[in-house]
Amino acid sequence: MFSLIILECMIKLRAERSVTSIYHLIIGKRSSQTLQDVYLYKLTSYFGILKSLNRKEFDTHIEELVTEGLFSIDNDGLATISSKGRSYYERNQEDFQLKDFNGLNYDRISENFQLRMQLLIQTITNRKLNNSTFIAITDNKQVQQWVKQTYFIHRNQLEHLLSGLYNELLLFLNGLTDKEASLFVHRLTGYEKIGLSKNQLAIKYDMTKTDVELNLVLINHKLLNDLLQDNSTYNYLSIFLKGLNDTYFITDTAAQTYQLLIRGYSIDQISKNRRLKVSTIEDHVVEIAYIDDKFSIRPFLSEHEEKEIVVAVETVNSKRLKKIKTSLNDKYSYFQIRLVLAINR
Amino acid sequence: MNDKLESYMKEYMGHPTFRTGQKEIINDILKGKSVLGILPTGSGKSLCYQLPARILDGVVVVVSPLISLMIDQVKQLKASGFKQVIAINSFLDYSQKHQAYQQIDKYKLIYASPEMLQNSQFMKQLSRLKVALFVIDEAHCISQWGHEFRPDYLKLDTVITKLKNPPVLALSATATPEVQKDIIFQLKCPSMNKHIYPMDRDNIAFVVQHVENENKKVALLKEVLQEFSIPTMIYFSSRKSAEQVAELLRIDLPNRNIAFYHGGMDQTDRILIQQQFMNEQLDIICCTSAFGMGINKKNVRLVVHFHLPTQIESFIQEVGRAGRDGESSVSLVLATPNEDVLPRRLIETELPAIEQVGLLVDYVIFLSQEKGITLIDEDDMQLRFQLSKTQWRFLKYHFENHGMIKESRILTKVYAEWKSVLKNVQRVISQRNELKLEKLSQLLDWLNSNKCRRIQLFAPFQYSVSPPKYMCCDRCDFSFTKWNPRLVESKNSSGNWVDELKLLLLQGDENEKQTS
Repeated sequence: MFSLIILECMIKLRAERSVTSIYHLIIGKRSSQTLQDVYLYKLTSYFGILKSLNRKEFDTHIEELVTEGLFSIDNDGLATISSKGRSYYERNQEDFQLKDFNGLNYDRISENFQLRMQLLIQTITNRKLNNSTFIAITDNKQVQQWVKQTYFIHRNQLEHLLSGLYNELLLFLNGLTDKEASLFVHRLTGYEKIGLSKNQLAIKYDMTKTDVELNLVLINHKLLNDLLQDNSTYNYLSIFLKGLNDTYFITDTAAQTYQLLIRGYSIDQISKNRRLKVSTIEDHVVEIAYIDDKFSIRPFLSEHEEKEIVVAVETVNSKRLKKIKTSLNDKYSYFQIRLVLAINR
Repeated sequence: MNDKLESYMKEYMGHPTFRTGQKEIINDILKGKSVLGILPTGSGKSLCYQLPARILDGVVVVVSPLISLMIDQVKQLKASGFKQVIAINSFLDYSQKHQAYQQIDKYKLIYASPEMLQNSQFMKQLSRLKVALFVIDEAHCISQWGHEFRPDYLKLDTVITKLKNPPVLALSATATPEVQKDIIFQLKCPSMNKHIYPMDRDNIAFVVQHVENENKKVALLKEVLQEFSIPTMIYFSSRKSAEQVAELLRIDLPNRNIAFYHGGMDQTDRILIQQQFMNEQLDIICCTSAFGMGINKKNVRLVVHFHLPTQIESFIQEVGRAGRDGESSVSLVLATPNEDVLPRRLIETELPAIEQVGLLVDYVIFLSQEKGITLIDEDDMQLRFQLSKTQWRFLKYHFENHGMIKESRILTKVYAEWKSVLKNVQRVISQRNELKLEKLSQLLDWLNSNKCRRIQLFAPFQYSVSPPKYMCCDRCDFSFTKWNPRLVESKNSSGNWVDELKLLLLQGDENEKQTS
């Protein structure tokens, strides 16, 4: 699965971004550069789907794929896909439901949702069998707090909760492949049954550890897709979503800038006020432009100027900022070009 | 008093019996005395302050150098129903710390890292409280002669003064008489009551097997494990070899549950593996020294050292994880003729190299004199001179101590001053290295000695050892053919996912009957 995702990223990036940017994309780096790339090249679904992958592991995987002849990488870190890589991608892309990934949209909720479910299941199964001394499988304080409250609400109806979760999980898992369902179930922890680590799952199902993680994330996204589309079927599983789905995606620091922007401050004023570099504030503005559909770029560019940039982007047929800027004889700043790219995505 | 203590014990810990030394130490503490307690690993050192924490009026502060151990203990205490505990360390973010400070007077037991005790904000909060007892865990870290010297520990005496001199409890599992004296001296606490208990454990037998190379180690290991299906820990000094050997064993022992554990795994997977081992889902764990702290598994029967640690103290500590239930258990060391190479390398890289420090000081002089720079960029320093975090901390501590820098500000640019401090630091490094190499050779000598392993291993710490309860060692009487540990069966969960899910969520017919 990893290789397919990498290939798709490379195809969409059209050798305009380096392999490093793919790494930042899949670990979900919250930088404006990465966010911008994600929107520009329509790679939102893969944002942050492999959070725990370190750089060394990533490089090893990439080397393996190069050795297999799927693509080559030049000195600037830009990839060229071979015909073997292309046909491999075309042959396999149908088998996998890569389209079910929803990385950027679920970035803020995916992990919490999963941990809530795992810890609540561990808690209620232990409590049901009168064991109150078990060690929580996550250290996440927020999640622990949430589980505590939720357990308290349901403490007198544990049976209903258990059978409800069982029925709904059965329904959901029946729609997956056998392997996916097994990965999901064996990862769970209950009374005197501790879930398997990613490495153990990898051995058990003869996959790489990275693919195990990708599969677990994919299953989680599928479940979230189902829940958010139709939560009347999933009364119990929807419990885990409470209070999660209304957090929209933006970095906290950009949100602060946004507040000041709304109150009519200029970029320079915000920069002074927040003691941040002008370029940082500009990054925030670009990030906001991607997220808020109602955002207007008029304070920064006239309609005429915007059009001029749009035409230039189409003419050079590239999303490389430098190319675009040069073709406009450096008339506009990078910031202005990025804004136009953001709202014309 | 004693009966009362036992009833407290029953009320809070769920069992009325004390283990060796605990009652004596706790009694002294409740009388307001300061205590130096040397208790063997696995003998329940932490009870000596956890029980008083519930009884004493005021808060008990515990300083511990091992953050993971602190966190594990807090978890276990909370799981057992004691909720007024917290661990304060640099892993907490701003809002978590803030929240903790807000309700700091609600806690009965506060664990803190030595760094946090240098944090003025935290100390301000602490000094508002009535500290009933100040506990120094792993107290040997205070001594330069100890095997794990921590410079931050040397500042503890001022911390104690700031907290208005509460009674002190210094605890260690491994302290030679020399180190014991040093602890008392450094804490400026001459009136401490000493409770020293022997470190040897009569139910553990010691075995050393010499082989030609690492492959032979694996072969021998397979043979032993094939024969004995028992909870086993195997220690490695590198993450990579722990993973590799786990893989080799897994292939040849398909019926056993084997996994590896090291500090490079993500948090969730670490918790899962730890819990599986506790829950008997794993039989054999290939680990680095990151595993085991705070693990309180009673029935580990075999502790293997595939690689050696760098000193006897760590070795004893790791071996001490075997046989906490008192049943016959074994420590097995696998040694090649080149067994010194890895630990030597570890020792050499612990502190910065002598030449490195020279170059670094030259650079600092250059920065301050030629460039007029007064602020050191710590990250840049570490990168430029290839220093690990610990190496940089060591240097920073010494430079600060000599008044050369403060925080990251350069206080003096006088050439001669820097040069003399440089000499001083270099001398400290070579002394520390020498000391560590000496400690290593102690352990290596032990491997090659013909004398009773039990007597020789504990000789630096105590005059005699108690007679072994089962077999003694390979020099005296041990052989695997005579060993009959209680075997455990490997659990296997093979079921398909539908059955597993049913079982997991307690949907079997059996449970329905049980709960109706």
